[in-house]
Amino acid sequence: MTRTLKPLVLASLLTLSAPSFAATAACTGNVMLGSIDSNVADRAVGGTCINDLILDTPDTWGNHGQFVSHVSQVTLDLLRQRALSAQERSRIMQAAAQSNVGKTLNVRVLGINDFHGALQGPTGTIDGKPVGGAEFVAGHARKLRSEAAHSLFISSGDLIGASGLVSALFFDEPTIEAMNAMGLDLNTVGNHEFDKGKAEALRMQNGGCHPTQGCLDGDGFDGARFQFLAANVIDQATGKPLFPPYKVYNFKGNKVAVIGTVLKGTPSIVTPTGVAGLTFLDEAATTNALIPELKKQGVRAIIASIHEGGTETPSTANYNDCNNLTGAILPIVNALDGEVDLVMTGHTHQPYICQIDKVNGQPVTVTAGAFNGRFITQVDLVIDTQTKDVVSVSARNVPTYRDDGMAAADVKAIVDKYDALSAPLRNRVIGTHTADLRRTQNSAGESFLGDLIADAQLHATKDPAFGAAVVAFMNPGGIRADIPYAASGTEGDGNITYGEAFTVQPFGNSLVTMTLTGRQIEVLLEQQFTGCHAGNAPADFNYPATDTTGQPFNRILQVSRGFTYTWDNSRPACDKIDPTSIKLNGVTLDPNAGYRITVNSFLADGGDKFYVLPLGTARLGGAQDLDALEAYLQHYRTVNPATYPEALNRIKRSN
Amino acid sequence: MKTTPTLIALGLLALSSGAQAATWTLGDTTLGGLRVGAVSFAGLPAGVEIGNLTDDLNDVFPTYVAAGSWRSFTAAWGGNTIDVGLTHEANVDTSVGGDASVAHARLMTSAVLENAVITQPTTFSAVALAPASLKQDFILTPELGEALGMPVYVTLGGSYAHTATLGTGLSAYLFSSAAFYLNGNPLLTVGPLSGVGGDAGNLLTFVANLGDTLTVELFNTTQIGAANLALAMGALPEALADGQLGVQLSISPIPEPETWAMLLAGLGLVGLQLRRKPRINHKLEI
Repeated sequence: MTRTLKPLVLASLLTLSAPSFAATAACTGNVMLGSIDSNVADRAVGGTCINDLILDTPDTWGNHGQFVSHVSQVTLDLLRQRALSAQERSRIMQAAAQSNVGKTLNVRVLGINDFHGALQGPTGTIDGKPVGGAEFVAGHARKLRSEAAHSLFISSGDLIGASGLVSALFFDEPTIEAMNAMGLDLNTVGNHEFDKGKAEALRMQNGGCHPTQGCLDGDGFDGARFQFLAANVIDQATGKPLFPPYKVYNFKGNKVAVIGTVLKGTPSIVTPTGVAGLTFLDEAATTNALIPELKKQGVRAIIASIHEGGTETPSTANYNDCNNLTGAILPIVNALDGEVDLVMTGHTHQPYICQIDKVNGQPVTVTAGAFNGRFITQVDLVIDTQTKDVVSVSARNVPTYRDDGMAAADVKAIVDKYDALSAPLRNRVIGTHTADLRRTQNSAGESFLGDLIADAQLHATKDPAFGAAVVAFMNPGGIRADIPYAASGTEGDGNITYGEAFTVQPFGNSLVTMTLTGRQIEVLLEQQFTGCHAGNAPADFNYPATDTTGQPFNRILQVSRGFTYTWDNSRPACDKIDPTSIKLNGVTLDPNAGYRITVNSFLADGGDKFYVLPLGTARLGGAQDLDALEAYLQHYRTVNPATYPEALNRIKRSN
Repeated sequence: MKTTPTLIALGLLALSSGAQAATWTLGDTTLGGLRVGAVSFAGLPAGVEIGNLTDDLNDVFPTYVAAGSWRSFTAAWGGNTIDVGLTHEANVDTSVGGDASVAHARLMTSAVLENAVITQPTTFSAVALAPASLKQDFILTPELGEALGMPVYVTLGGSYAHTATLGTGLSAYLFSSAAFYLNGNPLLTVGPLSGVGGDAGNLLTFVANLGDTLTVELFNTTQIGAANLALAMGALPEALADGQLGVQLSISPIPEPETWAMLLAGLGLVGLQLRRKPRINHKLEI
């Protein structure tokens, strides 16, 4: 019965520690039980006031009965010592019974989403101040947790994948280790957790060195101490979820469950090798189906962590508001069981705090905290310890400002260790070339590096099993630097290093292959030019009514080998191109035929105002853009701009 | 007794290797306890108190039970007075220390005579009786990955503490007993325990099946009294007595996953109907 006697032991310890302030214990007023006055005058017992022996601060007790039992033990002991009379003890006990102490429990839930291995900050600016970096995420998380007696720290997907260089170089092991150190409790898988396939996702959880590269940091990799969740990702080999569907936390007898799901459309945005052998089920249906099981376990406080999100239209600078949220998360939340108390989301990289109706018409708080650790979403739950259900939810996004004193030294040490180890890996040679590979666009809008990257993306997706693509389009804004001929490190001139390539394509976008008609490809090209917008474009351009400005400048997509067209600057907006000039391998496109095209995931969702792309059908996810480039450089061998096929000769301009 | 630490160690091992731990869910609760206090000076009634265990607190919820009454009265006759206190308390929690696989039930009673003011010699009789009973059903409930009918270890721990401080001529009667039933069948009785004392814990470990109901019946009584005690002026008759009885119920998995799987396969279909007779590893009666 040691547990039962714990309050008594605690009280004894308090009594033992009393001499340190025995001389100063001035007990005034009455013994209070929470806000209830017992009308018994407080007094010192062994140098400690009775009010200090009775532990009635919020969140100390898991329910009201535990508190009453505690007061009983303390006061019984005082009765035996004759420090209280039976009448006084009765008054104190009656006050304890009347009090609200223990009737509610506060649990603080901290959330991040889409961290993407962003170990090194700053990762952005919020309200004019830089934010981000693992050591600052850790510092803020620890501070927020220190303010709460009970807390959870959860990630809603894309914790890893499309990562910063230091994390990516070590297969995201640095991020796992940094999150272990900062005390993350769980990570719901996002689509990017599957970038490298099922086995690698399992390795992130279970540990072990990389199957081909080993442990590059020279010591082992123990895997995540936090739990990966994947309720709706079914391993076809077992028929069961790849990771547990949920995790239940027990706060002094008050259980809080987190159910983790990832967007069911993951196979349409991740490479087939990444999702091989896996089936992705509906997010809301999967979540709802688990709730009876949780209720049977006495769980009433239920958090849905969903790697799917929405977008404010238009988005606002206020990261705690919800301005007309649209997107895939809406129908999911609308279908969620009424028992769900909080929905933590991600995927869209937006910050918002929304109230969205569940299937029962009752609103639920829906949160997201942007990406790259720019915010920690802080949610304070109040749980009724009698019903075990959540009775209050308040949420806000807290920027991870890089303020003095907020950096966690232990987490910084992990990042610094990997940063120091990364130099030779940055210099890993992934290709060779004979001259600078430039992103400078010619008058038609075409660049050599753009040609190369578009060719790499076509190469990665042309096989029937990987998309059967016939053309690739690359946004010029996604090409961030030239690849210099001169050595950037110790690799020697004419060698292309991983670090150089990473600088060119740092976003970690994955490829998406889809079907567009010949007409839609024409529309895609017309959407490159300024002056075309909702006010003057035909309906099949798919402009949202709110976009009455169109492109701010001519944004010429880079195209893969074999695709050619001519645009005429003197023609009117939305009609800059004679469609007969659009050819694939010399043959004019048939407006009504379907063509398999590849773009990156940013464009695939309509990024850079290419609104026709979300209409593409039969989507299949592909490799990450950087991996595609590396594979292509290895395939093509030495890149010589002077002899490269159809270089700077794919897009032509008249006038 | 020697097997218990081994079983617990094995249980912990199984837990640490990722096995789920079943939990307790409360079934029916029956609380009883009538407090009675009566005092007379020179054979004449001076004060009386009567009431129930649940008078001041009566919380019966799916996850915990808290009930009690804490009462006192002053008996007065002429210039003579004395305070009488009587308390009852019951507490059941399904998650001790935040561990849902550990539940406890506790009863506590006390009786006190104190603060006497005797201004004229008299004879004094008093009785303060606080009996309490608690019958509580605990249901073995599966966690994730477990199924009804799956066998688990259940460990019963118990303790009692009876204390009394009595002035000359005053007496105390302290009594506790406990009985346990598995699916209505007698499993173990402990006690009667009477007199001043306590024990550090008695243990019984047995195999039960998820879905089973373990019934705990606790009785606890504290009584103090004096019969025709001659009191001189300024006498200070005083009696403090209390009794506590608690039991702790723990579930631990049987650490043989392959056995679980086999048993599951075998038992799954008959799950609810199947009630295996508990295998009692050892038995302790006081």
